[in-house]
Amino acid sequence: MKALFALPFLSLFTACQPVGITDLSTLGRPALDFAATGPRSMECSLSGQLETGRSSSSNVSAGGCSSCH
Amino acid sequence: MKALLFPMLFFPCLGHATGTWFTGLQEIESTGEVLAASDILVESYRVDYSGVEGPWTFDLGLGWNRYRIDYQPVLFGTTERLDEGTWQGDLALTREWSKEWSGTLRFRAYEGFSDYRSLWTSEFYRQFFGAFSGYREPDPHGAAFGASTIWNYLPGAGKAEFSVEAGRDEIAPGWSFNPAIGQPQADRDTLNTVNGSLRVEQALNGWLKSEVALTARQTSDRPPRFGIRNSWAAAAGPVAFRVGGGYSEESPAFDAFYGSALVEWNFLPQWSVHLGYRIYEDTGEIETSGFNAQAPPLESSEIFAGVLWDRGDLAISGGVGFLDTDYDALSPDNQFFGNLYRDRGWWTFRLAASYTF
Repeated sequence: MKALFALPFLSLFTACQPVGITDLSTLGRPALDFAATGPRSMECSLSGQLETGRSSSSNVSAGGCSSCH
Repeated sequence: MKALLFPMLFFPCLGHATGTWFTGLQEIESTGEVLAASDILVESYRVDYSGVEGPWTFDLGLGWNRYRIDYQPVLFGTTERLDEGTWQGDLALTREWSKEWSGTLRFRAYEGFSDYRSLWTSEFYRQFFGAFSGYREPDPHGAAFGASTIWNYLPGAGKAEFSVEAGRDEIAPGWSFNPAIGQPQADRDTLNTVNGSLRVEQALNGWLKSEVALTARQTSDRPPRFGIRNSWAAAAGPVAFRVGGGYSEESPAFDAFYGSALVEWNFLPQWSVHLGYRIYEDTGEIETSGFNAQAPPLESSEIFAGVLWDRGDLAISGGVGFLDTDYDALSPDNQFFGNLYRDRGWWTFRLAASYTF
């Protein structure tokens, strides 16, 4: 099961190739910007207070309620 | 809720005030978000400023969260209206070593409750043990240092980012009665956390892009938590799509799966709208027996939509969503927290703006 985690990485590196300058505006669209913040981000980050397994934040609260021990 | 308009009001003023701080590109970004159910309101406001001076980039962020809860006990206590705020700040300095490599040092700190559940459980313990001399009011706060490096192995098309961070949180602790001393006794109230992540982003061609992220986190007295996320996005004319999913696990028995899909439509030169759907499922937090305030298994889903106006230097967006949360029943030991982990329908609102100059 855990070996399957390597597959997404392999698919990336086998596909490495430069892209043209004209492609950069397309690749910078909000839907293709995985790390977008501010107005170009599309999801409300506060849902991480409920869905604690989704959050990628390093805050303790991201792993669950900090008082809930 | 009116404060959600704060991003629109705040950032132009700050933009003028900071106009001469750096000779390179500067950006002001502000975001307001709201998560609202019938008895819980979470508001989050944030302003970020970044400026470039030669190979250096300076980032400063300030944020304020507000939690308002109509606290309703299940078996013991009184109904209360809770209203608390949390300040956050962060500072980062980035050095671009070459076209391919850059490194960042980061510091962040906060003062206040980190989430609405901490406030809810803190009120529960205050009502239960507040009359004892051994009880003390919580003073939650925390800080963290971090570093990251980015390798643009194919500038514009592929990059890898590796981050590490170490932090300490003074939390609002749980309490239990110690019959030996006849007083309540706090659980551990200091937590140390170390986490790391590796994120790789790659354009496979001019219209298809993918991202993989691995995360690991170690918090005091808990086994490490590992996660993986993979997303794909494609553009076709005025339409773009994104799908993604992820998984995280923590021993002995926490697993979470999640996924999302969205479509974006660029219907006018500077205007686009998006519609998305997200699902989430976990097996509940790790203490499943005995008295504790941990969450039971959760299933949730959200449908969300938004609009973006983007002129290049100035961008403004707004969004709304409906999030449905469905918790499993609590164990008989933990009925005290029935109103905290009640099924709810939540509205999410988002308003954000950025200005580059």
